[in-house]
Amino acid sequence: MAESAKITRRRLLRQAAGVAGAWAAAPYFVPSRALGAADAPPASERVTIGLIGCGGRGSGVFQGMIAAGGQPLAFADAWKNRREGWAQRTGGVAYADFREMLARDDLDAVCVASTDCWHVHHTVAAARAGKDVYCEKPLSVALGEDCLCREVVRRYDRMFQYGTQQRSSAHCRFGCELVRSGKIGEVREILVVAPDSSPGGSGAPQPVPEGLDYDMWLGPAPWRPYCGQATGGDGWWHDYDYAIGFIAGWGAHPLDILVWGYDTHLAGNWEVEGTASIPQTGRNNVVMKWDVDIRFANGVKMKFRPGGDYTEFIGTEGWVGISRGGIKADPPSLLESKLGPDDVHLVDSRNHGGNFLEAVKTRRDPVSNIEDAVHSDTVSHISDIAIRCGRKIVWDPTREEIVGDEQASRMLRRAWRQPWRI
Amino acid sequence: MFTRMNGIVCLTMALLLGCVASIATADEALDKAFEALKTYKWGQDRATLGAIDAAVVASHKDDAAKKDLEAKLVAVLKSDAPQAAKDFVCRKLSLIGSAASVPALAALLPDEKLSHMGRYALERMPCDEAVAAMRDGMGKVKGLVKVGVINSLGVRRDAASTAALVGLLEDSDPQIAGAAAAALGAIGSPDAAKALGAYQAKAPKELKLAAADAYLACAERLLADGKANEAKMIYMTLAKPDQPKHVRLAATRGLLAAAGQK
Repeated sequence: MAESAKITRRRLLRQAAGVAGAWAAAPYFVPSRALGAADAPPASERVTIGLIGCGGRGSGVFQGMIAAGGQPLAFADAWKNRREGWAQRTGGVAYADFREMLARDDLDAVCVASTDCWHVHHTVAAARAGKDVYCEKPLSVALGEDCLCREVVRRYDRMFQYGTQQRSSAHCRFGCELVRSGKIGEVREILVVAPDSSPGGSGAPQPVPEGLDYDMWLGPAPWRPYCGQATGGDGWWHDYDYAIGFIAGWGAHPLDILVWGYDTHLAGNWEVEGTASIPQTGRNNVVMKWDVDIRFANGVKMKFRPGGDYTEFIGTEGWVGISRGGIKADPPSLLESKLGPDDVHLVDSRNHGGNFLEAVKTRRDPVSNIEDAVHSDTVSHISDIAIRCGRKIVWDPTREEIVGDEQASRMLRRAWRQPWRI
Repeated sequence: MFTRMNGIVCLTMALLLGCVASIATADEALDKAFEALKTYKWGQDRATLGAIDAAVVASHKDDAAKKDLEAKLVAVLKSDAPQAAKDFVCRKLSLIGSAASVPALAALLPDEKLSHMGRYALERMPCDEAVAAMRDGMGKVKGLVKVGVINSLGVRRDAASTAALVGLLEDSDPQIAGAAAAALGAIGSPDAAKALGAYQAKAPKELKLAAADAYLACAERLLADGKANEAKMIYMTLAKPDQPKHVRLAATRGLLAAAGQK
């Protein structure tokens, strides 16, 4: 339920002016233009935004969107203190139930930064309500959800920005442009490296903390007694009911660079084999130390390993390696290349949140669109399934099906706990 | 004297014994795991059940092993084992379950605590018996549990549920009516379209958007099935000014897609 009366934009700004003292001591800075300062564009020209999932990551991303000109209106979270903290700091409205928040007709867009098992549910609910969506990565906990998400986002022609902010770094874009422009020749091999998951956690039941709507926090995930999993990102990032681990959660970044530089979905069927260890003690139970090999039908080979954050494209005439921190190449002179009008030029974004808000206004796709989000998340899911099945999986990226393996195909979806659906 | 032949015989015997010992060890570990499963509770060490996980993976393409494993899992489901144990069983049956598991899983559908995990398995199982069990179960359950069953039938796009789902559009519980509309949209047949068409005017205010979304989803299915004219009729209805802007936009895009298909 909404925890304060429905308010207009004008009233919101008046209220906001009166809460300066409250947010002065807050951990997240809210720029004055978000609160209607004199030099800000009029409220009617600003994109009004809401946040679903007001934890650390969501707060960081949302703050960036406010700094880029977004007008914060509404906050939904299963944790009372989180949603009310944001509402207090901005003069917005806190919602225990995101559906009530999405029913507001004065909300243009939402940032989804909830638990991974909620991402598609929140995104789809927002799209059905006519909102544009910035969605944190990874996209889902089952690949079938990705396809449903894409279907609904396409249906309503909603702007969708995936939270793979490395696309808004100039060196990442340049590296992918080099690859797509053929500066390393024909791509032969690809290496993708992402930080590993963690063991640990306890599955021992404990009392539900005050201020947490545990049933809402669980959402579509299977019920089990509370065991501390909702207390922070690390509490659920590596728990298979809520996420599939860093093979997707962190893997989304270097895998996003992969699909930005190379069309894995056009490379023919994939043969995917992999091994990993899965912790048998503690709460965490996602794949660790994964070692995945993918062979595309066009002959290109890919290795996916845990480690740092890195995507390397090896071509017939050189290679390019891209990470969040920088870019390297061989020959090094590749990095001095000047791309001409006949080369491939990717979308130039310097601010991921800002790029999304721009898309909301212009109705032109942002830099990290839904198609690429599905493509990169596919690598994570198919790798995870191959590991868990302990055998080679063949993935048909055109039909988006696992070929000839009924048992593995079952893992493409999970039934949602009632009443949730996508 | 230790001849080469003797050596080969000895080596063969050793390998055979090793294999037998290894199989025996695996069987013992599996038996131990099933013993532990009988009293398994949340928070206990999962390693005690690891042999069952391994057996599920190993049973691929070994129908006899799979059948044996399935029977043992079903036995736990029928026992008075704790909820956590049955939760574990449903996860395993979601991967290897066949028609043989369906009665035990169907029995969980009315159980508020285990209904979801029953569907967790049934929804994934490709056999007709699994979806038939949910179809039959839909009429026997109430409230949120019913919503869950309807949602699973929608995921399975069960056309045989159409008549029952059409009836549920009139349900006084908006969660049930909304779930029925969504399931009909997912089924996407001409019959579902007809029911959803009639429902657009009747849907209560809080379900107008859900009704329109289901109708749009239905149109997409019809279009994908080559029924462009049927889809076009839906899009024309939803492109009218009484619909919200984003629904009209979706309908207009659909009209273009339908026109392109002809």
